[in-house]
Amino acid sequence: MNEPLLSVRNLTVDFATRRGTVHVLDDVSFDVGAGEIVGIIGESGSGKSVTAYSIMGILDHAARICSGEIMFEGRDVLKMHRRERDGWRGREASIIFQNPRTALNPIRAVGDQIADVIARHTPAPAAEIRERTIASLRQVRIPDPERRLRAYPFELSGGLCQRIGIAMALACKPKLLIADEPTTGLDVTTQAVIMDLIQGLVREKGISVALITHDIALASEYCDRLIIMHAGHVVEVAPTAEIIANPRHPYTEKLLRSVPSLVDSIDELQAIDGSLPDLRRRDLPPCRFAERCSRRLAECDAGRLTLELALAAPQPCTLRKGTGPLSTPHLIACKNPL
Amino acid sequence: MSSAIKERFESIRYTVASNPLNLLAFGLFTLIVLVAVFAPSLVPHDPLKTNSQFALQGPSATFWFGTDQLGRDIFSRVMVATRLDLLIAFGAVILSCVVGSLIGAMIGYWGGFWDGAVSRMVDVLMAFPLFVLAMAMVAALGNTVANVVYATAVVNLPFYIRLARSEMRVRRGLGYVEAARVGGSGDWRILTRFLLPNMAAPLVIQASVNLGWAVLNAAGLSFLGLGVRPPTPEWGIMVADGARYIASGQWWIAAFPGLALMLTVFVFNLMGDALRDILDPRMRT
Amino acid sequence: MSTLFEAHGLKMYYPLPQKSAIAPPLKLHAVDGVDLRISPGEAVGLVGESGCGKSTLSRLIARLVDPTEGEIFLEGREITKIRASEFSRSQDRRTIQMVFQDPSESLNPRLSVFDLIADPVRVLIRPSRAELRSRVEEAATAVNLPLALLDRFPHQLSGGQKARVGIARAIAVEPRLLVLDEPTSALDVSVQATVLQLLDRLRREREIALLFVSHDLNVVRLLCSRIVVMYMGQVVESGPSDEVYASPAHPYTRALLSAIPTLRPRRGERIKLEGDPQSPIAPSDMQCRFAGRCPVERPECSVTMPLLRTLDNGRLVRCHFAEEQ
Repeated sequence: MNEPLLSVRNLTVDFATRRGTVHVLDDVSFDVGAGEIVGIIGESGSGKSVTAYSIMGILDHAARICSGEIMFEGRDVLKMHRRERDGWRGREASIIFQNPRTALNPIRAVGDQIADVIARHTPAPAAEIRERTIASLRQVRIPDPERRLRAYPFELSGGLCQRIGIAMALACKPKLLIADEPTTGLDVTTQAVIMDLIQGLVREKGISVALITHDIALASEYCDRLIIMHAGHVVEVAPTAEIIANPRHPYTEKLLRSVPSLVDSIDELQAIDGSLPDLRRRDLPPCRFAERCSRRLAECDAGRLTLELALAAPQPCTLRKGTGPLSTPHLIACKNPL
Repeated sequence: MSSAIKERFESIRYTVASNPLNLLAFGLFTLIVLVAVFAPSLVPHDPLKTNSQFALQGPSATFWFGTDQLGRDIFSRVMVATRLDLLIAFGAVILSCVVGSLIGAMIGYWGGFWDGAVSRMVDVLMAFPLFVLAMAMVAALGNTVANVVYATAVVNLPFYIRLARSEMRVRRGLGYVEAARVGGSGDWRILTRFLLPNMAAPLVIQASVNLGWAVLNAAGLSFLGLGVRPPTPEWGIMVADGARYIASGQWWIAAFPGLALMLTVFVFNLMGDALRDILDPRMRT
Repeated sequence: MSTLFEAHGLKMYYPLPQKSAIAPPLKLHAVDGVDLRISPGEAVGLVGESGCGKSTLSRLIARLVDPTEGEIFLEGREITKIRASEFSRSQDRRTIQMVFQDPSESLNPRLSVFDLIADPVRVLIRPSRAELRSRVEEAATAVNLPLALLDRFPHQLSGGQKARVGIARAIAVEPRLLVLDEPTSALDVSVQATVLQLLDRLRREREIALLFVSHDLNVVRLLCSRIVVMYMGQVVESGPSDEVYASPAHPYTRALLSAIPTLRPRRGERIKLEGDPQSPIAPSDMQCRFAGRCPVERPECSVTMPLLRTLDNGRLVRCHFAEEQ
């Protein structure tokens, strides 16, 4: 196993709200290997975006990181100084946001916004920064980059804005890219083009990616490994093909059966009963899926639940070629797995 | 249902706890309203009774805020004046809020010719110095308390018209308006049953901030001799009366009504902020 | 099969602000000549990407806005003779109901769930108090909404519950056609499944025809027996769901299908759409609207606009070269 680039360990995050404390993340642990594309999958309220924001250090003021480590190349990001972390963010790790149009400054030309990022992290003469700005636009295949430099976000389509977002995120050649629902507001045909672009660029440069998405079908097409989250817990981690062919956690299995592209008639679709538990509760069960689960046992409600190696040996599976993903085994947090 | 009330209560508790000033604002507001209601039956002296024997006395145990040139007790006069000043302010604000919101809501909803016409009229109205406009109106309509209320209401109208219009323009395109139309509701029903109640929060917040301004405006007019006439106790008149004596060292005649005025305006402004926190947390900066 | 709903030559042009007094008035062609027929109890899927006019078309069909041109017939009677504002107070309003995209935005935050569902019933049926309550409870039960939730307010509901309230208020007045504008796009997949099955059951049990507007062909194929694909205000393909899904005839439909992420192995190479779409402002009538992005484009496509024509297998396609694929 090669050394992971990013290693999140036992991350626990609370939010103070006007209706009590919300336990958003509880004991979240996972790795992202060098050059690997990892999908972090979850429905709304699963904590996937909070995980991303915790890594980047851009959480809301109401959030409190209670415990945990975020190790990046052997250093704990959470222990970095504020200024050091500001430098780390953007140069070593960067993020693409969900809504490209609101993530860009509406009153500044897109070229200037990219140049700002480059100038901040790698100061250079103005001419060189301009060269690199144009190069970064060209790399995301924006036609006629010299002209588009002067465009404002509102003059560009959603797809073009997201290309600018990608260009900005990759401008300083980071080692880690977090893509937070990068195509959610876009049309499917645009989504395909943008995802192909991201995949092509990161494979070529060996950048690690954490793709945050609610769309397991989308993640399955681009990711080496999937991390399934439910209500602030990581419930299952495994290589993509393995998790789709052989889900072990009851939640993952139900989630897969609710995806329309995997069934042939409406009666085959399966909904997940119940809803997320209220994360403000003090008496949250050790397994936050237990109350919706048909495989619940008495021991599910007793003792801590940890992410463990799946009991059966992982099925042999064919992974995509290219930079090798971590040869991680199949992990699940369940006392009565499938 | 009880869960909804509990949640509401929890939200108010949080707002108050997160900013103790909010609690202060509500406490002082209650105090001022109580004074306005009960002062006439509580004050130690008759606010109108002159007594040349005690003229121009400084604050003492008998006359807490001292006496004026006619020997009237300033404490009693300041307390009693609260009711009149508040009545003028509330009357004016309620009038302008109701009329202004309705006009603003209607032009915002239908748009078209009337939208343009009323908006331009509002622009013209706002180009005048508002206080001078109010003065001119009272002078033209006649020097009565009722006219002070109308004048204060009219100069306030533009704020409510603009606010209601912009709120309406945002909300009339919302999904629930379309849903109401599919549900068989006509324009008037949508306007009054669906849109206006949803605009109440920003309008109430605007009104509470506006109250302080209205109190100042009313006091300002009577300071200039418009509206309320002596010997009625009223803060503006009292400040005007006392102003003549400041140079000769009798500061208390103007100072205490002035302080009462200041405190009231301050409390209304604080309350505006507190209401905004409770009604519309998103507006909090 | 009898016809419940029929539309001929629907057009919706939005005038744009003129740049100067002498500039020609420009119009945005949101819907540009659409014919549609829906039978009782039939589920039709309307598919396309953002800006293709499917939302505008759904509002035309629901009689929320007046078309620039075209006629709409409901049970054989023309209903476009009166304006949309009058229609909302007519008896036909009951027959066509609509469910909106964003359940949070389309529910008045100040009304309880009971009042939300009751409101259209009060206005359109004017029942007695007891009848009102029984109708509301019946509608809530039909969408599997626990009656205990009737006292709640929208912000106290989950996304799936809000979606069901939206459907309950639409079916409470016993419509015969339900227009659904992306009713599941704001929902999680696990919740989406419930809503789709609920809609399917309502269609079967109550013979309510559905016009299901969506960008997701995968969802539409499960719920609908017929698919209509729109591109830039025009219908480019329509036919039975299974056939369109299995062998799309229009290049745009093919691209759309191949772009949808799937958990299954792909059939062949993914079709990528390069190039920018044409402007919807005063588009030319001389060329195919898909020209410039089409992977199988030929010179003819920029000179003649293809017509919507019937293929030998009975499907409708708007492409010069549909037979060659």
